[in-house]
Amino acid sequence: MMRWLDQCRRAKHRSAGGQAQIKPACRMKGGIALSAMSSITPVSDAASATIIAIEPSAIIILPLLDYYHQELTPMVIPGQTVTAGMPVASGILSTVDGTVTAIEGRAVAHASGRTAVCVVIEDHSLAEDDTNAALAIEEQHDSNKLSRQSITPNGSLTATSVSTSTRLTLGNIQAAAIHGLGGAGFSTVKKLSDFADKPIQTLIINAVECEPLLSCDVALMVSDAVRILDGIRLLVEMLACNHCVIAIEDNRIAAIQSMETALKKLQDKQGSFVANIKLQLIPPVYPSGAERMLVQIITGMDICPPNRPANQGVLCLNVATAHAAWLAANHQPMLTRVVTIAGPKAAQPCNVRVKFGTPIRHVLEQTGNLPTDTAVRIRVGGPFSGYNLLDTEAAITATCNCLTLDAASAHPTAEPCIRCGACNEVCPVELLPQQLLWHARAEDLAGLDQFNLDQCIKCGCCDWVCPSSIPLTDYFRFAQSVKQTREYRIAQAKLAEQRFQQRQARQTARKQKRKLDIDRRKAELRNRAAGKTTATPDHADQHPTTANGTKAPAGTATLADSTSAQSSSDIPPPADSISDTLARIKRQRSSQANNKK
Amino acid sequence: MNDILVALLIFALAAAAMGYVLGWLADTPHTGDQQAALVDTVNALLPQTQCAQCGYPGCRPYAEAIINGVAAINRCPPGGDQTIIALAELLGREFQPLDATVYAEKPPLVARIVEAHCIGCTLCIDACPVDAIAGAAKLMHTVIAADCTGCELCLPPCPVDCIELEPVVDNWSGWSWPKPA
Repeated sequence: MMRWLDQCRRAKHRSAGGQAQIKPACRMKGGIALSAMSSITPVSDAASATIIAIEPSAIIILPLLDYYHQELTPMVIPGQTVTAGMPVASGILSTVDGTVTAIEGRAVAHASGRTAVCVVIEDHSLAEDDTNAALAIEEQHDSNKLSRQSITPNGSLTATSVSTSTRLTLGNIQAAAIHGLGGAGFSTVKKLSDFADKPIQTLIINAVECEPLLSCDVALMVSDAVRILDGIRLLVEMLACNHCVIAIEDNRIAAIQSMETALKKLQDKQGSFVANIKLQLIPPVYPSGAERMLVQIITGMDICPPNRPANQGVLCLNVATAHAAWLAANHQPMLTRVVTIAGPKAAQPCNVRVKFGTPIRHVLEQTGNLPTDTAVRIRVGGPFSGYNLLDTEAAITATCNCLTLDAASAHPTAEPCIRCGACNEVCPVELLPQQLLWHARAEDLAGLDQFNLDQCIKCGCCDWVCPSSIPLTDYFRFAQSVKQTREYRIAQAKLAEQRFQQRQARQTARKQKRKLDIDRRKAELRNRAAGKTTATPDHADQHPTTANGTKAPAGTATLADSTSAQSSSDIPPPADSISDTLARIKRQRSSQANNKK
Repeated sequence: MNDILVALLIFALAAAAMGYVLGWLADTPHTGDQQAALVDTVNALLPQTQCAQCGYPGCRPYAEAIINGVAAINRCPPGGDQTIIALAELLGREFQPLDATVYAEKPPLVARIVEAHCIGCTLCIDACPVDAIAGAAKLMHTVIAADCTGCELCLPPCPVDCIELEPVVDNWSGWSWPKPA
């Protein structure tokens, strides 16, 4: 019944929309249609249409980790006063005005439940109007209601009318520290600057939620479509691309309407320009929101990593990233994101705007979703690709797009694989998960390579359909990290070997040089001695015959002349004492005198 | 009767001769190139710590010794069981546990110089097989942790015993997903 109603609404919208929709270039292979997910109930339209604001947290925790989980060097010291938007490390901005209280290990939102070095900032604004904040909290407790404030996309933004800013540059984006808000958290600066020299023909704005449960992008589009479109316009201008496609799932009616209205408004303002920006409705099939899948759906090109879409002139950016680009053009750093709180155990499913670094516990408390019993499991990300949160003190980062609360029922025990092949059919990147499983269990890296484990996007579709409840994606994650660890070790070993070989080469070279030096020194001494012995008669007697053969020019004998020195060793050996030399000279003189006679 | 015996004898001799020839061919690679390639493959399986704990001056000499049949495959403590298994598979030899007379298997280690005690003698720099120690005469030395293989060769020459070995700090890139139960 519900599905029928949904279809009716969609049909109605299509006819009412007026604008002719282009058909997607291609259908995604595999995937799971939303209609097949009976157990997933997205946040209702009403709830998803508003973004609620919450009281700021007293402390902000900013993990010093980059996209690749490399640790970053802090640029602040404990006790330092920071302002909102001030960098605390490369690519990480402070989200509040406050004081750095510590730089220490704290729990972070990661599947490992590990701690990482974080910058902990105490919020000044709370300390200043302490009484006000306390009052506000009290009031909230009294009413026991959620403070559903009017939609303010960014706390610092109060202007109701959007002033169209003129330009967006890479410098703006860098200063605003924009990271992709889709869920991967890749640096947008890096994404744009890696392909600065490549012409971008198509800009795809990913307004497809990455999981069916999420509605954070929808909420943003409903609440702030004008700014998003202006951000898109700025991005199109900056990239100088020919056309731009905004991809939205066709069941997100509110978002489509909001975007269409905003597009029309923009069209009235500057008509010729907007002709390049098009809305594209795509069927709600998970995981259409993945970059590789969406590029395939829109352009028909299947671009396998390590090749990237920008190499083919296609750039894919999230809709929230476009919104952040608008802020960046207006010199506003990216300090917040919209987080969906949903799931069967969520008391108040909603979309909430949260500052980066806010502890997750605080977000759940403020929205009235903090679970009271331990039977509730909190997941960061959706039910397909999320991970279990082990510590609620961990902070919200750019990648936390959703907090899913569901029952902490143990995963059903995995039965043996019956080779039904269901996983092969749903795999959107056309892998053979059942084959990969055997190799992953055996940690057989050659086999995993043969079946292209690297291409797995870990969407979790195979887990969803597996009748034996095998956690296939967990096996693939495990296998990928085994492979990475092994490759890392091999690379390290190769480097060590290289250094060892270089050192050996250097040592042998040094030994040879030392030997040569010694030889030269010996020759030099020998020459000097020889020069002395021959020079003495030279000075004593100017007779021309004495110079013949035996005379070596003393002092000018070069060090390298070891051979000539050796060949002239038939000259008398170096004199032991002056008396010996004198005796020899006397003998020579007498013999010369005899020859004259 | 005699003919049968003669035939049997001929066949037996022929079989023995062919068996010997095949065995000889299969036993070891005979050309220098093959041998060198095999040494390379074995060398790639070794951890390249250049620690000389196997009794050979570096990983390549040990690989050569293995191929020449001089050394056993279980003499590499940093490689541990994993390396022995890989070598056994590659060379078709029997798995043997790590030779207890060499050293005990240890977790990956990294050297650290206690800088307060270092006198700047440069002896450890000379001893380090992989150039992982930076410093100069009469100046403080330090270990470049990323390059250190934990071979322990810098310990004996230090006159003031200021070098310590510590387990490798588990960094984020070293984390791996657990194997599903």
